[in-house]
Amino acid sequence: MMNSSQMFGRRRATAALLTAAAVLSVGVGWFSTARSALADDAGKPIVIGHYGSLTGAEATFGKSTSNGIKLAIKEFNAAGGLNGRPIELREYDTKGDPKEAGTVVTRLVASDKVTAVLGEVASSLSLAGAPICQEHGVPMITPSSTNPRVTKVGDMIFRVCFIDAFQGFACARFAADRNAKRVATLFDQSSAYSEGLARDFKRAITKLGGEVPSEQRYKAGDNDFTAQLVAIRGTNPDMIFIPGYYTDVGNIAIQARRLGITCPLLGGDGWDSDQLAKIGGEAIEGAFYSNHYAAQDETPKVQDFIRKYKAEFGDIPDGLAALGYDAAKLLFDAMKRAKSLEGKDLAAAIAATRDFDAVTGNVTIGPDRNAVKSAVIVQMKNGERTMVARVEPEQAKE
Amino acid sequence: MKSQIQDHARSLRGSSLPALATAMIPLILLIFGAAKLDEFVAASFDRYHLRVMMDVGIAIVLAVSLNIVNGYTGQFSIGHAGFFAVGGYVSAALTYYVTMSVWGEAILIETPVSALWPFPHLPPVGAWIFVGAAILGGLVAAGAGYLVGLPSLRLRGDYLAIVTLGFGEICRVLLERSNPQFFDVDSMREATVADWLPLPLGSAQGFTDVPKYTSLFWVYAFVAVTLVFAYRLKQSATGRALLSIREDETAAQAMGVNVTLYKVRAFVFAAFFAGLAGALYAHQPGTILRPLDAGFMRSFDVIIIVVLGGMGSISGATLAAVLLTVMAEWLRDPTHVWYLALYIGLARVALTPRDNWRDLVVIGSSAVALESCRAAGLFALSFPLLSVQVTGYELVYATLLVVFCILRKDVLRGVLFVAGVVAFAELVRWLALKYPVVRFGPTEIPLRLGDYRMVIYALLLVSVMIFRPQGLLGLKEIWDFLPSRRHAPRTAAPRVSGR
Amino acid sequence: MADLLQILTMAVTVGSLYALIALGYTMVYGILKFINFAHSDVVVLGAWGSFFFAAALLPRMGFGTPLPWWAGGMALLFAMALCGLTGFLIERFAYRPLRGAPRLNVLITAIGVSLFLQNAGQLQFTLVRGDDTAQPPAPALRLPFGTQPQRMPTLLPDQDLLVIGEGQSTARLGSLDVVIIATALALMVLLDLLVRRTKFGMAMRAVSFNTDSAALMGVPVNRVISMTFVLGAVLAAAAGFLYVLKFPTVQQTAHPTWVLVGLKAFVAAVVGGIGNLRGAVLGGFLIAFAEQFGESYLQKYLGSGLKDVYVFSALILVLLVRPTGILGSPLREKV
Repeated sequence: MMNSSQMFGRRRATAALLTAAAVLSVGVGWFSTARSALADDAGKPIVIGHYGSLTGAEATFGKSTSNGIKLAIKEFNAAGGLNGRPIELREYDTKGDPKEAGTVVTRLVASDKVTAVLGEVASSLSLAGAPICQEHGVPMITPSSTNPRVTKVGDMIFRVCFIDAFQGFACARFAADRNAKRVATLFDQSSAYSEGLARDFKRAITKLGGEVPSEQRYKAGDNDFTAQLVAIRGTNPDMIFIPGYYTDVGNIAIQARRLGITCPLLGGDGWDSDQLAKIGGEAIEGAFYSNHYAAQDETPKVQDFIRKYKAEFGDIPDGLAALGYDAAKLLFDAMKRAKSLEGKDLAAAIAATRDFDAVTGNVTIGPDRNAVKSAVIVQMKNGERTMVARVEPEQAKE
Repeated sequence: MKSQIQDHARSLRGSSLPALATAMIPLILLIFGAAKLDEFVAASFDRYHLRVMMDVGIAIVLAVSLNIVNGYTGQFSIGHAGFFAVGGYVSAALTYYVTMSVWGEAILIETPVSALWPFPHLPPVGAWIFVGAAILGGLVAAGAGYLVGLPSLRLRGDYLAIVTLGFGEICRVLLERSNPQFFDVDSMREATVADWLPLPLGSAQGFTDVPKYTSLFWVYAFVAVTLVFAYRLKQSATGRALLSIREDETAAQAMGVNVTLYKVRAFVFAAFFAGLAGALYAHQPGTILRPLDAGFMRSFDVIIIVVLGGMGSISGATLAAVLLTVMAEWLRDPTHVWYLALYIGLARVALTPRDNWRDLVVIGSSAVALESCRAAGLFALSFPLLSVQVTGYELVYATLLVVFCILRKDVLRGVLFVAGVVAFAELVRWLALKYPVVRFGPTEIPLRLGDYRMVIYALLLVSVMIFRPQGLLGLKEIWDFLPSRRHAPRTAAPRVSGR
Repeated sequence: MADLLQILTMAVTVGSLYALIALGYTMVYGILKFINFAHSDVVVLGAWGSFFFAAALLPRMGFGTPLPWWAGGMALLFAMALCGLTGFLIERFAYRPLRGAPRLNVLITAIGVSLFLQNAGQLQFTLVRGDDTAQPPAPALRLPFGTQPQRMPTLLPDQDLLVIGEGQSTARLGSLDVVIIATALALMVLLDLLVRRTKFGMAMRAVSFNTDSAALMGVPVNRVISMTFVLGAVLAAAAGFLYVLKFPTVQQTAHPTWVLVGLKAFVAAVVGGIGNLRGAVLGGFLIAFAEQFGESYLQKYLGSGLKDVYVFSALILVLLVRPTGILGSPLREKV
């Protein structure tokens, strides 16, 4: 059975194994000796992590956030960084998949040993990443996850945006102030953000004495809303609440106007983008949405941010870019105040943030690690975003 | 005549061990191995590598289970994620709500089973709840598999595929329309029927806060069960019936194989293990269940693994699951282009017909050794003398390649090949680091190579399909490459799914 | 009554778009017997190609707003040329090497091509002519498309041609709907004539019937297959163009919009009997009717947001009654 070539083959295999083993051991001996030459911390970059949907269906929002963060880092480093130590960004793509989010956050905190983590836009992905940051004691700031459960994960998790309940209340309050008693809703049932906001809005408006005569759903990717809008038209509402992202709103508004629906449209902070005026065109004129800030704000801070962003990326920033920018800025601010860059000290410093002057309004981190800030209601007028009302956080407590 | 056939069948069986033992011994060994692996990995790797290994294990269970339908039976299912999601949601809901109603809070239950020997060494109570829930989840998924398999009574080929796709999508919509999850025991007690129906599975928000029981041990214990089952199934009468359907459905029918029955069975088995994979996923730390888990994008991920591994090949599916999961992680980092290029080179050497089993063994073991060293932080130094940054393990990989080529007595080609790989990798890396992207516009913050991850992934996928259409191992298993099997009669020529 | 008519208009409009896309699926399936999952990405390319032409190329050539009257037709032709070329390249470099390989491999390749197009489309480079310090800066030309949605410029005004009913309850037939339906129908008729009346069509049918015998009879099989891909891609380009005319938000390449449109069109092709051209058209309208009327008239009982469920239920029902689709020929089993 055993012929010479096979015997030879076996000898060769043994030789290969031996060579491999020899190379390995030499490698281990050689390289492991030289590990001691480690420099000290001074001047070494501080690594922070960001996980976001840079590809896939949610890439529109992930990219904006990422751009905002990169801009903030560039500015901070240009100003000298943290006592001469620049910030370095480790950024991983989640493809909008919680599985990947879990993996990359583990990589950030366990392998890359980042000081802090920024991310994710979608609440479901933040919910996948947050427990890992919490367990490893690395502070995480989510720029725009609105689900209240995200920060309930633990004392390392913060956010710089509203939670659904407050924004739902703000929108309902505004609708009630405008004497809109009957507000139909049209939301994306496949989006946690949209669905959560629609639910909280309904709760709030019922409490304020209004009603929701028609509750219509669509699914991410639907572009044709005729059936839903015809049903809404039949109930003749005073206002339509559409808690989607600006990517969907353009088509909804255009079709609503085509169908002869004239009542005002109302939306959430997902609408905030310079693209909205372009995408919606005339149909979006007069529509309202709640937001963190008004882009036409005269404050030089906002204008400055928009100018710098445009110079950097060639686009006008959307709300997510602004929130990403603010999350990073808030983190750097906390780093300056923190006793050390240890997770615990840094988290304490973030939690102690009071009246931080951000692009998206003054941010105070509340006791449950959520940003406490007022909401503004913005109206689209001649393609510009104009502030028409402000809802303070205290009002929601009534 | 009949007895002759029976005799022949008996002689084909080969092994003299009783069937139960042939299944149980490897199973026990593998589960023991899983326990050891868990200890070893927890001691010497960081959490990221642990996590990737878990992802790999879950991918293996999914791929091997889909292989039962796609690979063995030749039925084209693109709704596998539906079963995955059903298993995941059912098991997660069971663990979550059972723990909550008994202990008042959905937390990890670490109470030992009993203080008596040997029970303290066994996993705690909670883990057994998880296992029970996982099996139930698998069973419900198997029920769904039965339902999906039924249309195969009338439908064939791509038409059946579309129905499975529809199944996954309908699962997704139903999950989106489920009720909100109960987050504490009070709201659960006060809930009315309307809160329970449709089931409180969290709608689009996803199902969160599931106690995280999945550990490396459980993942690989389930992998062991799946692998042994898949292997035994392939050897069994049922397995041969499935294979006969793949080779020629009409002929199989003519030979008296109850085609519908076996197709439905294949779906039920596959769905059960997909459900188990779902349960593992649902209880894994750092994940949440979402309705999108039932969508067809996840199904595609699994199909890619199965086809890449070679249809019907258990070890092929396993290998492909490992390769694809790890590759997707490597592509995140430009410095890893090196590994990618070297691995392609190694795979190329390994897949040339001569001596490939030894190469596989050596490459496999040295890769594991090197990766362990890397994870443990050994030779984390670069060569200051060379202008390029070459770290130790990269050099070792390259040396390995050279050694292989010398052993192959094909020095010139080998050296050229290695030089080509090195030059290419260095060029790409140099470009990636120096000129992250050719910049035209006002953008000052450039794209990194990581941004091209999915583009590269897609291109690799297409090129693998073009240059190795039969998948990594074709219809064979790894052990078919062993020299003792080299001259054994092969199974029929590959004719996969459709003609 | 007005609501019914409105839904009907929408169903016909959307149905004709589905039908156009379904034709591409069905032609490829008829000839190569595999599901071309990259087809929906060619639709995306059609949409973005026409957007690129109308919003970036034309202004750079000096045709600002309002766009000239011929802009729509030119954008359509540009998209068709772009997609036709892409379709050709995809077939030549991704599918042709796999001729004779198992169908599942071709399918995975199609998924790979689809992933490639989706992700390559998300990358963005900006080309600036001359130096970027010029004031005012030259309008940036973006390649390929990026992750932001864009607004398709108005190429055709959407005027009401017909208004039925009064006040809140009206049904309107817009000029856009008419243009879309007319263009789609014209293309379908042209395709039908091409397939049934020309020599090339005969070759196509021959290849679809039996590749080997067609080759023996002197039909240049590879050329016919290439042309089939080009034809499918051209129809997809038209569909993409018409789609963004009707729904003017041009979504980024990996947006679920495109996947969903592709999926529904594919379901339409299967419902009509895959491989059958008239079946694809029939299926397209059937699917559009199922989702529109299901969403409108069943939402009282089942709630809204179930379009996909209606589509897939229609599919499963049709397949259970007629396993090869409505107009599909019964499967021939060769032993």
